[in-house]
Amino acid sequence: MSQHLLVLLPLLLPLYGAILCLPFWKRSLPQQWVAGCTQVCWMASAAMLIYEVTTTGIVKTQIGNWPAPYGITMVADIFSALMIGASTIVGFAVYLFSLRGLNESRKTYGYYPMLLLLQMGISGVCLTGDIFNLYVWFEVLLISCFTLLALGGTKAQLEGTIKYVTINMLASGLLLTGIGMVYSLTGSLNLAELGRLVRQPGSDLSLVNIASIFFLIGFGIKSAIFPLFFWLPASYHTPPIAISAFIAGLLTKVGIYTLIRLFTLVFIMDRNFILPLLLVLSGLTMVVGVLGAASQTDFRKILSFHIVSQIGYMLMGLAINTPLAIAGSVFFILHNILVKTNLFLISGVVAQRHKTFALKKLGGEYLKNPFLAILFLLSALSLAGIPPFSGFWGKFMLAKAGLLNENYSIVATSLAVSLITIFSMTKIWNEAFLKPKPDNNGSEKEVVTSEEKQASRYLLVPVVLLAGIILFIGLYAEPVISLSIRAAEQLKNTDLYINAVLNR
Amino acid sequence: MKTIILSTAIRLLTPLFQVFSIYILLRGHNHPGGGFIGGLIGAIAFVFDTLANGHESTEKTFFTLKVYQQPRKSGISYLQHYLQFIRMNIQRKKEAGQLDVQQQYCIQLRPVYLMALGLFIATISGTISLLLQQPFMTSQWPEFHIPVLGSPGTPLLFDLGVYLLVMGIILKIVFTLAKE
Amino acid sequence: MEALLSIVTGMLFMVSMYFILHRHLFKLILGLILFGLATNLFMFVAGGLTRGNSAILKQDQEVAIEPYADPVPQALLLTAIVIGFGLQAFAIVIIKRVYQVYKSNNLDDLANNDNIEH
Repeated sequence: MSQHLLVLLPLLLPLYGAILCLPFWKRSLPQQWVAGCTQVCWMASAAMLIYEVTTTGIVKTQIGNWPAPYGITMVADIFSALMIGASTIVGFAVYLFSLRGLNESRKTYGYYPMLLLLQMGISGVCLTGDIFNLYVWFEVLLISCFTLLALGGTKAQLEGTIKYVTINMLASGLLLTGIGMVYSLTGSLNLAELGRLVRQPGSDLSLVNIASIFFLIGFGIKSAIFPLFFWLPASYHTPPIAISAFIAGLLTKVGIYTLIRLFTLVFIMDRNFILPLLLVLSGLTMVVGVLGAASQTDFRKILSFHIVSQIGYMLMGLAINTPLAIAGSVFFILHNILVKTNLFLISGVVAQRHKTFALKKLGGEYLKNPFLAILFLLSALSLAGIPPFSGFWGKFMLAKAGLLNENYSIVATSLAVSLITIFSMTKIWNEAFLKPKPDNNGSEKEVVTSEEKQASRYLLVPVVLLAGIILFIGLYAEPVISLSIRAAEQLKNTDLYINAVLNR
Repeated sequence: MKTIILSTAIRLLTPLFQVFSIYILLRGHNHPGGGFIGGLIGAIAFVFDTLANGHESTEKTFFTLKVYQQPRKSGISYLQHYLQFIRMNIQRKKEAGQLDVQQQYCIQLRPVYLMALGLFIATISGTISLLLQQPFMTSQWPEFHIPVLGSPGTPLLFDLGVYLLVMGIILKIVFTLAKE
Repeated sequence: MEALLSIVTGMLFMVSMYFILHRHLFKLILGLILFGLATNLFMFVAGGLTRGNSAILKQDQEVAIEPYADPVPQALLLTAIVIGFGLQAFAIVIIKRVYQVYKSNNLDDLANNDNIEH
């Protein structure tokens, strides 16, 4: 298969899927079929891309056949291929969940086309090699995300959406300002060309650093870094689970992906300013996120605050900035995409039975459904980083890199935050699974029809799928770790990327 | 805002806007213009119509097609029946009263369908070159020339897609906002 | 000219921030629109202002006639304006829905989803 087709398939398939969904407006069944086929094809295309990238190296294509620094480049290295691979798995799981876990009116009014466009946006962000094109893909991703958040139009959803829209429009504006600045300084928009120009001797770096602050703030808002994360717990828990699981699992990580890409390739890390700043921000993000989670009593809000806390770990790898640390970040991102989505889906399965997310009203789930409890335990321990599960390896690599680089305080912070993570996971475990179901004065006698029982059994399918992958990554971590290390080496060795794109 | 002046003027201006928008669409390759601005101009006609008469009237006038159908009489072949069916639907204004119409359907062109069609055309125009083993959106020019248009290559197809897409989106926005 | 436009950009940023920080929904829309305009103007000014020809080659030309305006910021701006247009349309529809549902123009009335209990 030609390289051009291979790079663009993960982008084109969801687009065609979304287009094919549109003629079936207001009829959910054909849309379901189209979306399902697209998800499977998307997974296959990502697998082919990962295979190609790991065997032959960086692949790229030029849109419209315009040569490299002038035309738009689409390029896939190991990191971006892995990101797309993880998002395809999550997309498939969320699709399976949505078949029974989403009400009919949302399905008919454009859930599937919007989900597919969102996935196209994610592929675009991961594949693009042009800084303005990156902005465009981010907008594609955001506007489908806005629509998904507002889909259904309940009171809480509208309120969450308005916060999300406002803050993200500001972030996009800041990004655009940064892009204008970078263009006026260097006269180029191609990431590889920018990387080459910045590394040239005699280039004026002080102003590039100012531009990098715009990007740090813009993508920092999108990926919920410490002082800029308040929109996330205010909006992520409002939509139904089939929507919020996908958004929560992926969007912030895509922001972190771009930060890692830009700060390894374009902006040279300044030992006096940017690195210490990132280090402090990552530590604060971890601590504040996990403390916020500890104070919450809503299943989804605890998980939302944990997203913020985990973002700190991913940033920590970038801030330590050794190959091992970045490999840890890459591994952690992949693991977190799967685990976080799985936890959200489990909260959806629990809420399907109890009709609530409030921990006070939940309970007794362990006796009724021990299998689900075990799946939750697996994901929760993995999130906290207990040895046989996948989270451990990411944290281990990050901590080791931190110790080797003598950043003792950030390592201590990250380990302490892990401890509090276990605490809040234990809280969910105790409240939702172990304690007996609180008596609602008999007024809300729980009536579980056989249909509902069957539906909730069906909802377990994606959860089991994701939990299996998490367990697999945890027990047999070797291939994924070696892939992340190779990805990190590619990221650190920028000449590979630059030469591959500029054909030198 | 129902004023006679506006609605009369709009009735005259609508075809003008349409023709002008297609002109802008076609000249867009080498001159200012193109699919996006053409689509905007094309949509303006309908937007003004919505302003003058309300969105239901616009949807009914421009985006709904009523189809009349008669059951096939015995002794008439299928070909004759379909010819009759087509003739009836073309000439309906004059003799709609006298027809013994049995059924009528409404075909509605929603803005969403315009958007889907536009996106599809635009994406196909890029994919053609992928199938020829060239990068996405490499422009392909066929050998022949059409007198006024010139050579209809894939960029024109892309512009046409954008035209329909923009028109669909503008109409969708306007109709949504006009629904009170 | 560049100095004047820079000052205008700064003022647009300032005004938009002032509007966004208001508690009124309509002013939120105005603020977002002005913010988009400010970023667009910033990009335009940062790309360099050149009065001159357009950078389109004639039939038998190899290079454009100096001085010509840099076409890249213009293309970027066009894209950014279109994207901003889409986002603003969505924001306006959403804000209208919020107003219909909450029957209020005040953002402070929306502060109750932080403690929702289903």
